[in-house]
Amino acid sequence: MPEFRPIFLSLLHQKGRSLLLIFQIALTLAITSNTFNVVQTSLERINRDTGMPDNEIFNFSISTSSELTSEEQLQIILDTIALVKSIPGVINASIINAIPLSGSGTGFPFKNGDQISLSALFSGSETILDTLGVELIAGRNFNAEDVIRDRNETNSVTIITQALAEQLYPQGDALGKTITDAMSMDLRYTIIGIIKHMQGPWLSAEHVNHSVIIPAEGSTFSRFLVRTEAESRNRIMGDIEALLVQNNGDIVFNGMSSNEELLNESYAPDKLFIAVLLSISLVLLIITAMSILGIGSYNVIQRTFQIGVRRALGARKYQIVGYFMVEYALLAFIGLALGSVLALQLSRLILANFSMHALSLSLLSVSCLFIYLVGQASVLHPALNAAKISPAIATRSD
Amino acid sequence: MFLYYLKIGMLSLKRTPLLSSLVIFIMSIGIAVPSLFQSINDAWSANPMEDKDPVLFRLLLQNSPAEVNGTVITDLPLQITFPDSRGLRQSKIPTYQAAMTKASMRVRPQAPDILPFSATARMTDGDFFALFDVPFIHGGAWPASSDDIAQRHTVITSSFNDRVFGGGDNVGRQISLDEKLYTVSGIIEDWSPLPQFFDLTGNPLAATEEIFLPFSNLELGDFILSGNISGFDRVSSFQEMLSSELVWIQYWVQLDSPEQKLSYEAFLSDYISEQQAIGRFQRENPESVLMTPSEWIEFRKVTDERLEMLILLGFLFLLVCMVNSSSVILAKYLKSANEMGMRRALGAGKTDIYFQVMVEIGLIAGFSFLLGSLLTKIFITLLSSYSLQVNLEALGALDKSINFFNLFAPGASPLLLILAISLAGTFLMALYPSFRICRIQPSYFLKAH
Repeated sequence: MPEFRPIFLSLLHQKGRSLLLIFQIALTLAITSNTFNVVQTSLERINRDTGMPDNEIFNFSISTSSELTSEEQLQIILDTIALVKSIPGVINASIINAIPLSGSGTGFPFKNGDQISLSALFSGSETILDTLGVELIAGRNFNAEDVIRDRNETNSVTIITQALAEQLYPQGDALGKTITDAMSMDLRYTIIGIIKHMQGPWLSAEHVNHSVIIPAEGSTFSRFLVRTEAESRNRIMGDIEALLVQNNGDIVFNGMSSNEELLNESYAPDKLFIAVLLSISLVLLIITAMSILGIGSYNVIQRTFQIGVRRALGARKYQIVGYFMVEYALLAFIGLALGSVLALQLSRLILANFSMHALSLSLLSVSCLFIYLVGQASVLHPALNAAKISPAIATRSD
Repeated sequence: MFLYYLKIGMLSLKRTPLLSSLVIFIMSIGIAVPSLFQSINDAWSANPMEDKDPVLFRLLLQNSPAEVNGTVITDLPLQITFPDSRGLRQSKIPTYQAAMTKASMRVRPQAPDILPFSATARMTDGDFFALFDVPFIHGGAWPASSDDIAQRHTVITSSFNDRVFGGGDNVGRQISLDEKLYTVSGIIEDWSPLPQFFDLTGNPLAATEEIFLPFSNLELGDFILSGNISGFDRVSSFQEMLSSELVWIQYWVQLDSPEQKLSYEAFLSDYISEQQAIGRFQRENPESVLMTPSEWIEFRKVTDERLEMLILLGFLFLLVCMVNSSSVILAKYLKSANEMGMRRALGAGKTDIYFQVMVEIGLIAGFSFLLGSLLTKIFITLLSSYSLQVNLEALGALDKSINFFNLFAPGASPLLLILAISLAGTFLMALYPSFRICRIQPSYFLKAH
């Protein structure tokens, strides 16, 4: 094992070069570890549970002629639901005022006493819970008597998400209570059930997990939510427009999308962001490898005579290789230590200005190891070349 | 003498081809990455109306109640009410003025083989096209009388024209929208400024509507509004919407001179006082605000935290590349120290050596700038083509948003920024190595090893 002292002393002779390498490794660690942290945070965001079985659900919307009366429009809506439910493979269907995950919907600040929470508002048929595929954890589901048929009715029963229940009723006694909207205070919704989890229309909103669902029916609904068996969904989506238009030529089909398409669209920028970040990290590591390789090779050439002398004095090949590997390892160790401090500082800076998690020590350690190995592997090539230097070099005198 | 230094600079670079190329390559990437991210950020919050920026104004009115159930309301509404959109028209001061909002409409093409579909229409006054320099291919905006008394005219885009009529000059033809026939008065080029500066209450990168209808048609009733609606009133019919204090309309004016602007501001203040007399604007100092497109874009903060993070990481990346290059250049100079020593021994002063080194660094900066610009351009092209693919899949529903990288004009690259980064970056990183090499004693290299 080469001794550390001579290696350390020789490094002191080239302070400038050593410091540059230390600094290089430190900065690379700081950036790479934080980049990985941002990637990890973004991946967590993308992989959040929506609360619904995304591979079973799609939505579509229709538009009917304005020359029809409200009764006729309502009848079309009810016929559409009946038609959809009759398609083989459909588990359930519901009208709905806004589509979760879609980016557009209605929201209100709801209050209980002094506690005010923003929430999305969903309304739909009494089958809406089953169509959403969400899990009821307290209370009961809607039934036919609960459904509001008058647009102006401000009293209703409601089922809300657990996240909202915990915020408005931290004591855990939400069931049976009545929430009102914080602005005009005329909505009165009595909580009859709580669902475990559901994401609302706006995935980037802080209140994404707050939803208030009420059962309602009326001629103004134009959107439909459908839940199918997973393997049938694509077929059903392919057939549905033709089916509806054939049944009633007055209907204008307004487009459809599956939950997964909505998620893809919402998260497309995040995925691109992750791709860009990973590319930067990769390029950075390649550059690090190339520069360590280049400088390592240069070092070997500069010290050709010294290496020849060592070999002439009896050093084995592996000892020569070991010498360069240890030299790198020493510098890398100092660099990684400095880099860890820098990484944590940078992480704090990012945390203060952007919505990210702090850099975890485990991610930092993994990055350390990674960078160390990349550098060590790069030094190997010149080190092996060094070992090939013939001891006869020492006997020359030019 | 300078040419001589250039020549020996090039020779010196060629003497260590691998190390020299490595430095240039590393610096180029270090330059390209932050330049790319800065370009993206610039494009994202660009102002499509830069030329007319000083004379266009978005109007905001503080019509919300002073307080609701104990909560004090201070936020300025982003849009205005329907009554205000009609009331403001009394003023003839602006050169052009237009109210606007979005509505979803059923399109039933006459051709039997085209299925009816839904499309979003922009309801606006005829001045819209003059305000924003929207280019016409055939015909023009509807007659000004249609803005006062609703008539069923429409302006459509070229793509819409192709889709519904199969192309051609269809001015004068009719199209069924929401079961009513509208006459085409003009066909415009496909026009979708990004960000969609005139709205900005929803997705800033939404595609602009393909159908334009006179705003006055709203009075004829029952449109399905598809934009952002907010406020403190509750309504249960479209008619109630037209008289409520809910805000859902954007208002733009063109005021060409400072006098015009002052006189319009005076009108606004009189208008608000009039309205206060009939019970509206009940608060202490209801304000009216006029913002230019750039101020409005800034106000709505059309930016993205991810982009800001990329810019930070981009410059850190440059820093690492600079440190890397510094190491490599130092190695390169120590390698050619022999030659330096020789020159010193032959009488070159420290300053001559320094000058020679600077020329060489300059050459490196030059090459890095060239390669860096090329790389930036390549990255931008790659990103644009990616976004084009993503967007093609989303095409179908006209309301789908365009992926944010679609913003790029193929030629966009901030050359000035790249030049600045190249020069500053290269010279900074070479500071230590060149200092080090100039300090070398000539005698050291004259000894035989």
